[in-house]
Amino acid sequence: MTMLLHSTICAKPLVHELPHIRQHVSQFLHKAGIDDAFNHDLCLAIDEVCANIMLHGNINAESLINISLEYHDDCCRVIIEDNGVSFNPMDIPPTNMDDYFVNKQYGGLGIEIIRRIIDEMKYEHSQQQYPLNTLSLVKYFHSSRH
Amino acid sequence: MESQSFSIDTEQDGIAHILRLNGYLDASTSHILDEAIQQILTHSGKNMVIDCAHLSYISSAGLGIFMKHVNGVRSSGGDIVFCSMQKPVFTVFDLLGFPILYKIVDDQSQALSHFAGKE
Repeated sequence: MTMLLHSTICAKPLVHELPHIRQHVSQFLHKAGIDDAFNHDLCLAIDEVCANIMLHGNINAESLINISLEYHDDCCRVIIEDNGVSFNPMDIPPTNMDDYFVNKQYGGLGIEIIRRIIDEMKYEHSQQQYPLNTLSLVKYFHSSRH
Repeated sequence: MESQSFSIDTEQDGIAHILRLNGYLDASTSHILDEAIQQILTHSGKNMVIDCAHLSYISSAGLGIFMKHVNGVRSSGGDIVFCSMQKPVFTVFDLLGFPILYKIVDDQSQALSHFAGKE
């Protein structure tokens, strides 16, 4: 895995920042020559992660969400860091969509979208002066997902 | 940078309310859709055509709004039908299997025909 391009964006933990995050990610991927479908899917996965942090992370408004984008020869890696409450998306079991539709539930689909788009997901939490959540996402160019 | 705003134009066709979605439907804009659907339901509207011709983007927040209201709409004898979806939007619906739950048609006239057939 060789890294060819890298970019970082810092955003306030407010939902009106989501369009700016998506635009930054999309421009980075476009610059890397990545196709529109891959671009859309990765933007969506990052949007879902960030929206979760903003809405449920109980994060200090003065704090920032850091998003690091890496374009490698075979994949894109995204590292998202925040200082909100500890939350490992992989602790949420996969959603059975048949049951979901029967019960007419709503909400909770963001994690399922991430799971269906992303090939590898790794979560780490550390607690020093501040809590730090680090979520690493990898999507391969020749992914079997989506 | 291109603006990523969201707006809705609504129109009553007689047999259905048509909601034309424009722009980017995400966690920052989904409340606009929620309020628009709520307003239609409050005024006894039950059939809704969601015209997605100018909807460029949808995340789970937007899907959640449709799920929130579908029960109320169908229990009153109505339905929600989607039309004119751009590929990125359909991709998100399809990713989670939403075409099983909702009728998705090519254009507005087909969507209205769905309701006309139920009259």
